[in-house]
Amino acid sequence: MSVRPPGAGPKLATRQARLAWLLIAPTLAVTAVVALYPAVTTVYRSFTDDTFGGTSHWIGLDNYATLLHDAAFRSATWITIEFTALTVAVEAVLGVILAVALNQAFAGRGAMRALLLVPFAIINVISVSIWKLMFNQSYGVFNDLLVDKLHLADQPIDFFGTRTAALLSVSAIDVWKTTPFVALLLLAGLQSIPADVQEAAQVDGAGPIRRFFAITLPLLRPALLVALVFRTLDALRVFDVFYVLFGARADTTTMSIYIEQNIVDFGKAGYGSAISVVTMLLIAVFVALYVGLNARANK
Amino acid sequence: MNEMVRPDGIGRRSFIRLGAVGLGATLLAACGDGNGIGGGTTGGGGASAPALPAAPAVSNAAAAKKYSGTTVVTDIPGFGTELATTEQLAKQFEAETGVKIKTVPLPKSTSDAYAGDQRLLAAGQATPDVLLVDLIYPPALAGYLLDLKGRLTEAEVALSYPNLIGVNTIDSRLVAYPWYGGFGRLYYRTDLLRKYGFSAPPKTWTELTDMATKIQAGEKAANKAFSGYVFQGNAYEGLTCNALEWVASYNGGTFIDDRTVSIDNPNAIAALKLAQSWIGKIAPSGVTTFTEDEAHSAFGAGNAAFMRNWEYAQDLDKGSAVAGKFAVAPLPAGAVAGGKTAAAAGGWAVAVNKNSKSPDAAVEWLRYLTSPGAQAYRAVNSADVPAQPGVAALPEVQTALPALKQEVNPVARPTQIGGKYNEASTVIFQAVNAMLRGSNVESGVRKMAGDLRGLVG
Repeated sequence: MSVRPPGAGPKLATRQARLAWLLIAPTLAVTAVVALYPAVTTVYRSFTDDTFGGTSHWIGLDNYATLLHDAAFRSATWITIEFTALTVAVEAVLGVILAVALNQAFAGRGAMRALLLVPFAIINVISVSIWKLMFNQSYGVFNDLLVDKLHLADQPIDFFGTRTAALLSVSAIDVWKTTPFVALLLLAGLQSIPADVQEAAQVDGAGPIRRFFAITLPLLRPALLVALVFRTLDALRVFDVFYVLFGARADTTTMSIYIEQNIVDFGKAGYGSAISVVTMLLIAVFVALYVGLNARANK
Repeated sequence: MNEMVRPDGIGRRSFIRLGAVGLGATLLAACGDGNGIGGGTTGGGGASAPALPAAPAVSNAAAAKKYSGTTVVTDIPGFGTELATTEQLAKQFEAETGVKIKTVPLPKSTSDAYAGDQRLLAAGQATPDVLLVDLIYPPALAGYLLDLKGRLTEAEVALSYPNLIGVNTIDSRLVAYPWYGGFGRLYYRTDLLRKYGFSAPPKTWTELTDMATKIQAGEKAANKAFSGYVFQGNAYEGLTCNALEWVASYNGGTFIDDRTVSIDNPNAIAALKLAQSWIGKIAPSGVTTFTEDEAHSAFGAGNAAFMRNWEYAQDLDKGSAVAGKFAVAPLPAGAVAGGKTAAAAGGWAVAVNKNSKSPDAAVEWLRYLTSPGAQAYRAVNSADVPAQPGVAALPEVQTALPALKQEVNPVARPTQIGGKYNEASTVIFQAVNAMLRGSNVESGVRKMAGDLRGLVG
């Protein structure tokens, strides 16, 4: 593509643009069917009082007005945002460290890179159930280690009791599960950084720490942005980790659990759709934030 | 940094933006649109145990043969030995009557099973012809179900526990026939009671608290994970059952009585305060995340003196650390005037779809599935508690399920509020779960009562 045939002008650009649209047309069509249609239906339904087995009437903004005063929804929004901020921050830092480590040449690097993906490859419900067993206060392995083997604690610790403990435990599991994903995305980014830049800096006398902050990190930013966007989207939609650990407990109900509860358990499809729409908007705000920050940094 | 510009002018950044927003919308829409609707089309037949004895003969075979060749689509339990015994009954019925039985295993979670059936029924589907209905759902589903009065004889109806018939009778229509039950029971360690000088299981919750405190103080020295009492404290339907038992045993009503919210009373508050006082003392604070499974594991590992659970936990007598060292008793009573043992009633009933194309064949299948012979067969082979006192009294059933010899005072959950029961139960278990984790009982009960009033209307 970089070789321009002689005499080619804007016509080629137009042709290429046409070809590009042609190539993405199937994707757009599929997206319209599997994403746009359900999204539009959800938005429409959010303006109705649709219930399963019942009737459906247009009620305008009533659902949204109810949401404003819904304490359970506020609580769900907060715990979701806290969880997102905590896990994405920790995963980004750990991910960078892991990626930089795995980018060095050492014996067994290939095996390490493969092993890294194991937590990410296990089905969430299964790995979280195993974590739940390990965290258990009466017969879990952590309390066995802390109390009986290492004598670091007097009493078995309740890792899920308070809201804070629950949030920290659930975040630890999520960090374990998804840091490898972040590290892998960043590793790909690291490998695209040309070695000559690093070498030039080294010749100029920059130490490893200086090189990391002055060269590696700025050049890694696009990859980091992709990783952060993906993780933030994922974290804001979190369902499985919380649901397996805490079920429908009030103070650990995330936005997605609250949606599921309203639609499936209570049959309130209209109200549940309104919560879905608000969640979608919240995610859009976060994505816009990232993209905006990145654009500013690029100037 | 350099931005690679595509021929069509979409920069990489904006491409990421478009992609990310699109992705977010897709995933969310997936979440908002019918997440977790339990189908009922999975699996089937994989779990039949090899050693199952033959099913009992079909007593109504003569009547059912008239519909030979008809196909009846029926829900069956989705897992475990229950699936196997029910399939065995279906095979027997097919062989003797010529009626084809097509089985649809249900999802494991009762609310998923409900959501699946409810959608089919609301859409006016003719199948499944025969449905399994959790005891908490008849009011919500009544409109879609066939009235069994007149189709079953009065003698057949009289075989069941009257309160189970009551739960399944909506607006004087019998919409489902009781199939099997389950009641909350107190499991206790006989060896530990002896060791600490107790001759009998506790009669009141106060006694249980004292006994558990003493046993735990002694046992904890050797086993730090030991606790006095384990139950179901997680925020889910099981906690609604536990809380119902505490409150009802304290003569504090059943949350909603005669369509009036009754929970805001001193007896209920006393019961909930006692339960709150257990946490971190005789119950591990992690009990607030326990379901049946965790309680079963803790008690089964020898880490608890008392446990509240359903009859199925008697399987711990086979090959667990506490085999031969425990017994079952009625749940304690509240130590107040009018306090008496109360056991949450769980269980399932069988119903016929009002839109079924072959209601007569469906009723005959229901008649066999719920017959005393079939109930005894399922009690012995898959530990399902019979819904008929006559079956529960049979010697072979009592040998299989020793807990049946004891008195129970079954208490129904407040299901009369119909389609809103799930919301009411969520209000109850979330409020009680928060109390167990230390929030104020009085204000919690007041808020719970307010939320319930909002639902009862």
